[in-house]
Amino acid sequence: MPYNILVVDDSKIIRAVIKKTLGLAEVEINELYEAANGKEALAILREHQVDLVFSDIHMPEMNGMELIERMAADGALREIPVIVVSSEGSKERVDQLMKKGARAYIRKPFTPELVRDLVQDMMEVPHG
Amino acid sequence: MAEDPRQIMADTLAAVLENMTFTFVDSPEEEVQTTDTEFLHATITFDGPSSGVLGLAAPRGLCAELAAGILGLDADEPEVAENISDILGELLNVTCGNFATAMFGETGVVNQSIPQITRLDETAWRGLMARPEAVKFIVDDAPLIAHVVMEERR
Repeated sequence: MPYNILVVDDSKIIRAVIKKTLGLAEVEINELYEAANGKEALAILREHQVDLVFSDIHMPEMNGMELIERMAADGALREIPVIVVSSEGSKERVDQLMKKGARAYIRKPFTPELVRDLVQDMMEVPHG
Repeated sequence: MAEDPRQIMADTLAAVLENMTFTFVDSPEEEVQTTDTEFLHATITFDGPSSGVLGLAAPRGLCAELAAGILGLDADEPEVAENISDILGELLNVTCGNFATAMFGETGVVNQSIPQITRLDETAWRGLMARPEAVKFIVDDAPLIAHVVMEERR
């Protein structure tokens, strides 16, 4: 089943890398939305049906942490899985993100195989 | 420090380049020449159990090729020119995060700055190439230089 995916990152280059990796991972995509920060992401999430979000942490205007908090507080958005994409490897930071409501974390750089497995996990396992 | 920061940075950067730009990198046995006259230099500082500076420099033409490859455009398109600095900064940003984890482990938080991008002329490029901490790579037949300087803790 093709998915509607939202990629949130202030770098157009990183959004393009994620897009390209999703293609190489052969993830079936219906619509791929892009946002440069959490604020833009929330607007897209409220306007369109999105199945999965890939989000950076550090972004201007609204960062990834606040986006996750806002989504968790919104009954219509809280079930949408968020995969945090970052180059940070600190366990403390990852734990903090997972507590706020992120469903998974991947570190840049990532392989298509890793992305494919993660998308399958996110979309096939029911979350409560 | 048990591990050599230059080696860790070289290994990290090679993995980052291959996975983010979908290109293969090599280490040159001799100095690689370029016809480019303009170069870009990105630097980033990190602060954790130790602090220091990482840097990455490349001919502008290579930056354009890498950005074009990722964006799926031709290197001479205006959108590529707009993202030339971004590509070098993002490569360095990701390299720094992975370098910090490889150096210090996953238990502590390492803060890193926003990458700063400057232009270099040929003289500055050669100067950077001659620095003892410079690690040289070949990417798409063009040279790329990385460097790391660890600061001593007082």
